[in-house]
Amino acid sequence: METPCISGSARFTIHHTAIAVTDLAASAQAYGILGFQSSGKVVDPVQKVEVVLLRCGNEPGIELVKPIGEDSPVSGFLSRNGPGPYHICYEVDDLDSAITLLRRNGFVQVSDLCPAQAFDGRRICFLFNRDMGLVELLEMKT
Amino acid sequence: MEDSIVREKVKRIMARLFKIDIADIPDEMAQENLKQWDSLMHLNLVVEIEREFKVSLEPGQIGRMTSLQAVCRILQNELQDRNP
Repeated sequence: METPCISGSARFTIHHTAIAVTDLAASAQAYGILGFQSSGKVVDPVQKVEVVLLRCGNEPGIELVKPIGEDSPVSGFLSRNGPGPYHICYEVDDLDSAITLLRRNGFVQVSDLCPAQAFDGRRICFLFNRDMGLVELLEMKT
Repeated sequence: MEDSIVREKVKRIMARLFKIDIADIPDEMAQENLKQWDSLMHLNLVVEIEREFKVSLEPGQIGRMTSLQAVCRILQNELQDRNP
């Protein structure tokens, strides 16, 4: 378990870095060179993405994210930047409090809370900060 | 706040973010008609609007802010809810 960052009563632990990609298999193979092991593909119709999770020991994971269709939020990022880091996901023990804390500090909540297919239905939320980019919050397992 | 003041403030933010002259922003401007107004710039626009007007917008509102008119309408509703 990583040591969390603590802000007030909220604890933020890096869970994974999401990488936007155009070819899940090719990217998983490339990360395999670095020693990452990949899980099976998960389709998330809510987020309009296909996802493969990569793990290497106890390090925070990597989430390969491929858009489904042109209206996926990831499509614009890929066309603008090509494959690369898309967001960092932080695991939090109290999702609602963490969202409130970030919104009070200039973060914009860009998605409603929803269950994530790739994380056992745990709730996630995306927020945006001008100086950090996109951030995902994932509620801790109960 | 008067509609015209809200619209002018939003136009000033858009002109700065989109790097266009404020005179080139018609009242009818929409996201689909301006290449610079992509998904990332939309989020930056929302950040600036929240900061300027001291409001906190919900994800559904952010998704509906696809034109200057929609931005101003949603903002006015927020401002009136705050100061009825």
